[in-house]
Amino acid sequence: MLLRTNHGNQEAAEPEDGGQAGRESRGALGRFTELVIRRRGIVVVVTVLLTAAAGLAATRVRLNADFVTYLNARDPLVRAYHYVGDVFGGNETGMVLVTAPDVYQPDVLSLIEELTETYQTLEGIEYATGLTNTLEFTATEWGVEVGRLVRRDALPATAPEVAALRRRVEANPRLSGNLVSTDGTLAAIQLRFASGGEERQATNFATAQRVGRATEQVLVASSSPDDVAVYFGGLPFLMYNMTMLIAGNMATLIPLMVVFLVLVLYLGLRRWTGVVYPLTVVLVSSVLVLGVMGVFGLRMDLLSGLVPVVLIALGSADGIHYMKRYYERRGSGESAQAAAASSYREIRVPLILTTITTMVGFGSLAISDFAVIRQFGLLTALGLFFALVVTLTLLPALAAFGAGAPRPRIRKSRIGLMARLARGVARGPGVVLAAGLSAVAVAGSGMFLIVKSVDWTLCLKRGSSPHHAEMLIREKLGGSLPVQLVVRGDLLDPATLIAMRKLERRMDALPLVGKSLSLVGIIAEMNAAMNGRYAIPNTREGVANLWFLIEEEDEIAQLVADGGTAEGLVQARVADWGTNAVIRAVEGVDEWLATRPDRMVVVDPRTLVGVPATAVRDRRAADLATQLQWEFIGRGAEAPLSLAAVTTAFVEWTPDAAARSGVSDAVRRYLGSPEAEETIDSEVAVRLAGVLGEAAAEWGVDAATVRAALRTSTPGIDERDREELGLSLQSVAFEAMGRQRVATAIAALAEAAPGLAADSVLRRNVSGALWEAHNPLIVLDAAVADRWGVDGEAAIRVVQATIRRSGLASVMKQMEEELLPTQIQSVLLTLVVIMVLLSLIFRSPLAGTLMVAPLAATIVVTFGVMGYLSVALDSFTAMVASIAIGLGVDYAIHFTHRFRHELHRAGGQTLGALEQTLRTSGVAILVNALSVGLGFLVLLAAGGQHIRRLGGLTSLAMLVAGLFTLVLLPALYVKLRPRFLVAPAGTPQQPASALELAPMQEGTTSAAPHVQT
Amino acid sequence: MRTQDILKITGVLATLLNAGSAAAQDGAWILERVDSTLNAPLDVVAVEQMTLVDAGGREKVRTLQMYQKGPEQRMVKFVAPADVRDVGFLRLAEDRMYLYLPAFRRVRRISSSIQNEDFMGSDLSYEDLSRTRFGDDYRVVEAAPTEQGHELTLEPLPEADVSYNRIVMQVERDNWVITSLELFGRDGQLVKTVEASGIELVDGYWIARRMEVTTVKDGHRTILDIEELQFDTGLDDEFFSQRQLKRPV
Repeated sequence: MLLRTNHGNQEAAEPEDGGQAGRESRGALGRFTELVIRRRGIVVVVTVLLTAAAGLAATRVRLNADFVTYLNARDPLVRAYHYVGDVFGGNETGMVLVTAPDVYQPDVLSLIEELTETYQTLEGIEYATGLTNTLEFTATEWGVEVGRLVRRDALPATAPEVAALRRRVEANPRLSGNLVSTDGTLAAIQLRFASGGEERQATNFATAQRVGRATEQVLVASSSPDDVAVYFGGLPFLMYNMTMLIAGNMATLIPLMVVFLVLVLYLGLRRWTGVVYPLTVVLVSSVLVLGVMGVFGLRMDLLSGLVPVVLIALGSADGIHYMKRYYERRGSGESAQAAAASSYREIRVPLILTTITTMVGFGSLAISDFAVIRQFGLLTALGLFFALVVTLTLLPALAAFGAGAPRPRIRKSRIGLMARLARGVARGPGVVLAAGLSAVAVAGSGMFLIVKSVDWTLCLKRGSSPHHAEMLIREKLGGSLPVQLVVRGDLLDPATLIAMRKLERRMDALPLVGKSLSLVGIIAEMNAAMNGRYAIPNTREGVANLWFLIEEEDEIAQLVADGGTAEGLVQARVADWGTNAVIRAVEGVDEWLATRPDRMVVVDPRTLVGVPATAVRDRRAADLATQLQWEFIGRGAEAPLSLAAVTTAFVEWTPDAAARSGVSDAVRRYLGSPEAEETIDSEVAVRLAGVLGEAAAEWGVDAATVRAALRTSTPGIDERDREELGLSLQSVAFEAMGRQRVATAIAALAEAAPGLAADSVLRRNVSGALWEAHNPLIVLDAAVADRWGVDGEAAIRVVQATIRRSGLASVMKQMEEELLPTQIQSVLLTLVVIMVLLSLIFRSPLAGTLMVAPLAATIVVTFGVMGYLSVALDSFTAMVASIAIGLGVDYAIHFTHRFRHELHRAGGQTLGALEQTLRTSGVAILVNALSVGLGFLVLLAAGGQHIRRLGGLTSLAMLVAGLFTLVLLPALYVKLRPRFLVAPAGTPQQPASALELAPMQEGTTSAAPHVQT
Repeated sequence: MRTQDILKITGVLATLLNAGSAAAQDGAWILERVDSTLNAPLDVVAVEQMTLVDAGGREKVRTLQMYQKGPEQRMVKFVAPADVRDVGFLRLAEDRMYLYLPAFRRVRRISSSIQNEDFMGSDLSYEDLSRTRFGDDYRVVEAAPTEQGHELTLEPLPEADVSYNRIVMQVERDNWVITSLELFGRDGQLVKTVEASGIELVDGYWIARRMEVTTVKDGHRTILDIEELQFDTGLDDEFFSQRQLKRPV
């Protein structure tokens, strides 16, 4: 039915057609045309009212730069992301960066202090952590420092104080490279934004604004030096800047596109009505789309912000076609109303067809898992539909009021060009095809160079302050993109904390990942201050004691859920936002997660014998080697080849005389200290120390030995005091033995790895890992322990701890994984649907196939160019294919329609028909490709690199699509001579071989094709 | 006659003599009365419940035993929860403070630089916990009568190394007990508030049964309720030792 109407209309368009137009005008569409023209005043008023209503609704549209909403809200990872935000007091960390030649200088520290204090009381900021309020635990000659890195009320003011602070920061990786860059030129104040729930983006936006204003006030009020600058980075500020970018882009691009369109319309139609009427159509349809967004509460995101721009670029084409016809009619003497009606009849069906195919192109984006792409596709398709409706109603109504006669111009050179093109194609279609295919192959080979990546920081304008901030964070602070892991289990159990510590080591050893942070680092730091070892305490009581000192601290509250000990957060940062880096990081974490058990068992190997004992010992050595290796890699050092040998020696270590002597010394010192539970005569103390030293083994001295020795040496003391003293001596002996053992291993490692001596942090960490292994108990995978037959009294307790990945990096990895399949699906779906549509319209599967061919070639060339230019395939550039198909197919339809029509007119004479087609529709296609292609170049003025790339590539695709339609499609038609070109719709009796070229004669201007009958 | 009786009589007389003209009272003299009341007992042994309440209303309850003798010596030992039983803090002087964590069985001296840090997650700083005489570090810059007694505004003495640059103190006229404090930081901002309630006379000494400290910035609160109280038990100086700090409660 559609085909019949289509073909009938095509015929009706020609005055000589006789009868067809009359029949059409009496049809439903004809009656509608008459109604629109007769009631044109009402049409205008209704359109104005609808547009006004839509404009009103459009004021409710809000901006949305929240990446997470770009994904499916029901996705488990997205849910996990929100969960972390809700439970850990926000999951979005912003960074205020203070740069100065030396951030340790008193005036800069004072500024950091003022800013941190200000942010702490700012609405929307859950926690603010900077150099001047961060926790620190160190042992000094004056005692243990339990508290802050610096006293808030006594910032370092003198050169020695500043130097001391610098030394302390540089010795602590939790601070150096995290809160202060290693070169001392950048200090960060980390801001944990409060979880905003459903309105998180609006909340974060408002908070980011408040931070900006508060910073401004502090800077104005303070007397900070001129060489101090403040930047804002991290996700909340990135989103803030992108929101501003959306608004900025709309404010810049829409006027630019309108100006461009005005130029194109005026140059093309040379009448102001030709400018105003089509422009009105696109503006009205854009307002209608915005109105729909307002009514349905849809948000304007990075992509949908471009919908009005795209509509202005695309929607005007229909108006141009209509007005061109209209002016032709007026030029031939028709009245305004008659010209409005006849133009309408002539173009409505092609317009409907091309709009449908373009809608399919954009509509196919609806299958994307990216909410942002889905919304962009559907809104553009809806906008195109509105543009069609307005073109078919408002435009004829306006035209019927009268719009003057045209001043058509046809440039001779263009005619000459098209004629030469027609002759070239007609003479050697095979050559043209071969050349075309070769060009496609050469350009398309660049596809293999394409890299996949989504880097959201590309949304920031290069050289802008936000972009500079992100680059600073990448270069000096290890990036701002968080990988978060939620640990569920008893956080006071050393087994859980050791699992977290291993996770941190693994992450720090991964390329582009680092700065891991969790409760365990702080616990280990406290243990180092209290007991001289950067390690998790061996007992739950030890962890609980340390935890007790810090549990109410803000920095801790960010790392545990609800201030409790059942759920903790391990967080690291990925160095850049490129999805390749993100994927490698996340996969590295996943690989490790896959190897760790949720169910662990704490084993005492001392009760094991035989195979299980050997297996446990070997496992301890292998595990220690892995941990040490990660420590080396994490510090950028090379692990010594002798690592395995050293760890095996460590595990199999047995104390020698020197070690036992060390135990004696430690016991003697303890007994002489004021904290000893009893005052013991020095001679007795020496004797007791000797006895215990002699009895000391791998883990010190056992309780029974200590008790017996004390009973003998100190018969007179209170039983309870003796018991307490015994416990203390056991602890002293255990530590003394550990020190000897660790020192032996460190010495062996330092011999093989000279870097160890120079890097105090590495030495501290390696030593910590060794201390963790100086534990009579070991944590094993429960399943492995079962397999080894470790049970009974050896299996002390079962520990359940799960670790699940979350964080924005995870979300971005998922985005990347979903990107390519959905984009390929989208492109394939578009091609198939359009092929089917064209096959139905032209009643030939071959028609669909041939008309899609230039589009497929366009896509290949576009992606090839992307590969050569190193433009990554991201969620924006991947849309180019769908857009190119949606737009490019119009050219094929217009060309084929005209060519078929001209073939009819020319009695099957191919060259004449081709020449005529290229001189008319060909020129229109060329103009359209140039105008749309150049129109998309307006996006080069956009604020973000991603949109500029989209604009540039779409522009290229449109020009290539236009070129291929004018060169490859006619070559295919001439070469293959398909029947559908000469078989009018509804005339299946047409012969099989439809097109035939007569032999070409030298010097002839046209070949003499004829239709076989 | 016991010291506290003399103080009581002095206080009553002073109140009578100055009735209706509190503004005329010497602020320094009032502060002296306040410090005397605070330090009246020879020693104090108390069991207190410490409740920590965060801005979200989550509570953590701890029980602690406190020993105090004179203005300097103080020992705090935690009794509950079980995880932290026997964790202890000993103060012998401003620069001699010790921490005991029983899991490690070692006493550690802690640096005096932590004076203005929070004590064990509470809203009391080590300085707050240590202070028994305001007059040692502050002078009265303003004294005004109130319905219940007096409002004193204190500022640090020039040589004092303290965290607060202003303290506004409410004192009850009848007993010289502090009923509230507003503590201002060096930047002039209000840092903490302290509210005392349940004021009563126990064994001849005026005490507040309950004290609530609120950190203004984050709304975190610490509520101290005295559950058991003994005065003048005869604690000797040797009791305040590292060895005693290690002894289980």
